[in-house]
Amino acid sequence: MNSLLELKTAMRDERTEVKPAKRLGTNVSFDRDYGDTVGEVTASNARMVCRDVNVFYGPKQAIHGVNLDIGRNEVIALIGPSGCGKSTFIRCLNRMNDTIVGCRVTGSIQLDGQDIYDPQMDVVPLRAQIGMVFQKPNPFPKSIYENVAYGPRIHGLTQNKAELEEVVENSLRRAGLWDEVKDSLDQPGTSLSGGQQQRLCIARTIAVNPEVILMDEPCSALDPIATARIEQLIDELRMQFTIAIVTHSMQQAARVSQRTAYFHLGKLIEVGETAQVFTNPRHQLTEDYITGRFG
Amino acid sequence: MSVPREGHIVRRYDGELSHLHYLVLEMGALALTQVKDARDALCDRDLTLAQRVIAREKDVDACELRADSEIVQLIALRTPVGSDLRLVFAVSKSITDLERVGDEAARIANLGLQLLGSEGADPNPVLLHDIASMGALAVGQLENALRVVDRWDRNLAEDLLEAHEELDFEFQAAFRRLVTFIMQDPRNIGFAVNIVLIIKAFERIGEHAQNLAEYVLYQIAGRDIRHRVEP
Amino acid sequence: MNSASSSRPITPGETLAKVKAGLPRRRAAERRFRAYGLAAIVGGLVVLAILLLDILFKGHSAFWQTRIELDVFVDPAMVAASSDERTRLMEADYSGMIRQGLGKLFPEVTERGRKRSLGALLSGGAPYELRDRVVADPALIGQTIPIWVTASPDVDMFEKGQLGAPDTDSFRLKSDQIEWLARLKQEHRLEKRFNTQFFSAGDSREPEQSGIWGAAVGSFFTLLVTLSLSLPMGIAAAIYLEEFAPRNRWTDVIEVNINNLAAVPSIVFGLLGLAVFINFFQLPRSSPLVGGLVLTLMTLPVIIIAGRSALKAVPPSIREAALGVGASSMQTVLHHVLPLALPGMLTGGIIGMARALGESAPLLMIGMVAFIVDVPGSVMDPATVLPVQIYLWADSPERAFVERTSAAILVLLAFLILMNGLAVYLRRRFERRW
Repeated sequence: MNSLLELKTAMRDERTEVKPAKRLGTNVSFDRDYGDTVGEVTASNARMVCRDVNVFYGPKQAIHGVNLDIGRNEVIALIGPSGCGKSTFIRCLNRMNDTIVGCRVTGSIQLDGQDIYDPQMDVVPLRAQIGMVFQKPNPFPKSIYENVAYGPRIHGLTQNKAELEEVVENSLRRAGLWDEVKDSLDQPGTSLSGGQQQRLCIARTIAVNPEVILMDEPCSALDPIATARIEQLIDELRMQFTIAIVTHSMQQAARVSQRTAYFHLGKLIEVGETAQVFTNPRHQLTEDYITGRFG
Repeated sequence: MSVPREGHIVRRYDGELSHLHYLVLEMGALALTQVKDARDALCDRDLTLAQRVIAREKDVDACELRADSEIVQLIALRTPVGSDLRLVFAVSKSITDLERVGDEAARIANLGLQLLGSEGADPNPVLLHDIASMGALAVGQLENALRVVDRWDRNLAEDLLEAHEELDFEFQAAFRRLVTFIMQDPRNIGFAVNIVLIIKAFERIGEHAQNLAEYVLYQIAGRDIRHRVEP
Repeated sequence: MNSASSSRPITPGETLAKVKAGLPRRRAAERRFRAYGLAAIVGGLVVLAILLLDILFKGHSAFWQTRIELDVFVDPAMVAASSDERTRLMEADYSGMIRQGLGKLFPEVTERGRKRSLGALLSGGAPYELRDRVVADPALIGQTIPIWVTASPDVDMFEKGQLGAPDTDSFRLKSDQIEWLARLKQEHRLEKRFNTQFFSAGDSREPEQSGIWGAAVGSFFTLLVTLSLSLPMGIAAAIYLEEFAPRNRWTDVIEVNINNLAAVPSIVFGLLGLAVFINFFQLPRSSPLVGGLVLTLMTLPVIIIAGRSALKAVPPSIREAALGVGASSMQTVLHHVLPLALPGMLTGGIIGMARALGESAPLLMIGMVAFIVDVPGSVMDPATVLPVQIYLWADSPERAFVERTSAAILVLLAFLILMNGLAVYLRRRFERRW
């Protein structure tokens, strides 16, 4: 009770405190035009800053000059019709697009002020900092324990077996999966149900202790109960991580996110507080999309 | 955007939204008839008309129940967002206001029966003058409000809101006149109180009419303009 | 506007009537299609069964060998006088002892010509069988020992009923020889026994002394070289091409070439081996080393192609998952992709090996067709392989080599089935579901 009150106060304090910083940020670092995007592109306490991001697949341009900040401890939802580039954009954020032949990214994407597309940048530590959860649950065909232990093991995050076991347990607990799997850690991860598999994938991601978690339609293959569990999980994880989530479900975006960004044909049309976007979108395209008038 | 915009991919959704709009108009027409009849009953001293108004009150209530259940269903099944959400919200609020308008009309009819039906008493026609003028103003505002709802027109709504002090002034003036009557002849006190209650009801109807215009503006502009502080 | 109003109104039942009208035709087409497939399979199986039965029928008798029991007195006087014990034993007059032993069984045969006929009942290798016995146990000298010796191929063929009718050219037994054989049989001194020599001896000019062990060991050494070279190279090449190589003109050229190599006739690889390994590198002719190198060249493209398709079959979501946790490309491949692709790669490898085991043409070119009696002891020794041995025996004029050819084919087929079975087992055992 007491701690909740403190937390609320702290959150309120933070919100009131950062207001001047918000203005400072816009004035100092990026005093420029943000294209046609409607709404507040900048975030008060930006974790990731994307400026004029263009993505090309061969000759075809998939993303056109996107400017977007992702703030600390916020969940930002990326919505838009299929093929609008939201998945492409989120995959740029941890350079997953590197694996696609013919994919080219221009502009700057910064994580805590460091350009992740810098040629000096190593993608291995980058992806340890920016974890990703995919559309289809994709546990490794290994045991549940191995799935979660894999990340900490390859990055050398733990000193011994006991520590590793602790990390595994913690991650599974935070993913809300521990009670369901604690007696079957040696079972293959693929033997779990779809929703459990996806939570296992989330546990695997948070075991590395990233700073940002990217989720590419994490619930599209799940039933409503499993979806609700994941949404609850996202809400809990927000306290520690910065989360960007791509979703086809506008209700989901409305439920889990603080900010919503609407993409259309590779352009960022509108970004704003989720409540505002869903009650009073400012751009006609956003309005048409969320009300189901998209022709 | 004169009427709720159509063009949903699910065309039945368009139909359901315009049906909600239609329900507001239907209920508005019913409430307007009630108010007009209550006023006419008073001005023409027609007791049967007043009784008919009281009897018809339950039709207004039934209309509200029907509209409410449709709104709940629509929210449950379609989960409206954006302008649709604001439309549903505006309709819901309008229905509540129109039901209050119906209540006020019934109250006026009841007060009219007390005023006119009491044994051997006939109020001074001068006293009733204020009822006619207040009634005309209230009916006019309600008519305008319903026109706003019908055309879903921003300019009309703003015009109506401009006139929000008219009824207030008229009420204050009538109130002062009635106080003078009471001071002249304390026997008038019974009539005067009833008449104050009646013109207060008309004043309330005018306020509800203002509310309707506000809801329409809220739906169109996307922001709440109620209770705003004038600059 | 309305899509329903613009199209022709459909009367109820119309669709069903049309569907029903076309149904018999569709059913008939389906039945025909199934019949074609079934006929193809049955036809193939029948031909295969005929082939196998024919080989089995011709070859099964080679696993049995007619033997004759003699009581031989190992005469110390016939053992040569030599200071060296081993030379003494090796150079004793064993043929004489055998002759004496045979003479004791048929004391009535005294005439020179008939004695020769009697001697012809036994294989030319009989004295060596006695010699091996005595060398193994010198204490036998001075004793009379019962010993089963190999009969001559003509006797063997006669006993197996493969000599033909008594008045044809191929029937080379005389009437008194047949009489003696009947007597031996009566005395239980003539028996068909399991032919261990066939599995333990090298090649020989004499059918009854020849075996496939030399060829089998040659095949083993050749495959050992092939396996230890082509599997690591093939898997490494497949991984590099599939996972790491940039997609450009060079990799395209390499890919086209690999696909072409897989289709090159195997004899071309033999010519290449002859030119490069033997003539240029001066590696020993006829050796399993050169054979293995040639077969490596031949199986490498097969293994690379199989390996690449096994890697391609690994779902990209697994790679994404690993990369998403922050694994490097190499970790992704080694920890996740390779374990999933390995069963497929091994299957490809084993099938490549099986093909290499059955290959003869390129090995003819590098001299593995030579007549080699000794069992090879290393990859550098001259050797032959099973398919080449079959080819050699099939070419031999002796009647007794026919059954040996078939028997060798049976052995080769058994090895091939074993290897393919292993491939299936590995795939079943290690294949993982995802």
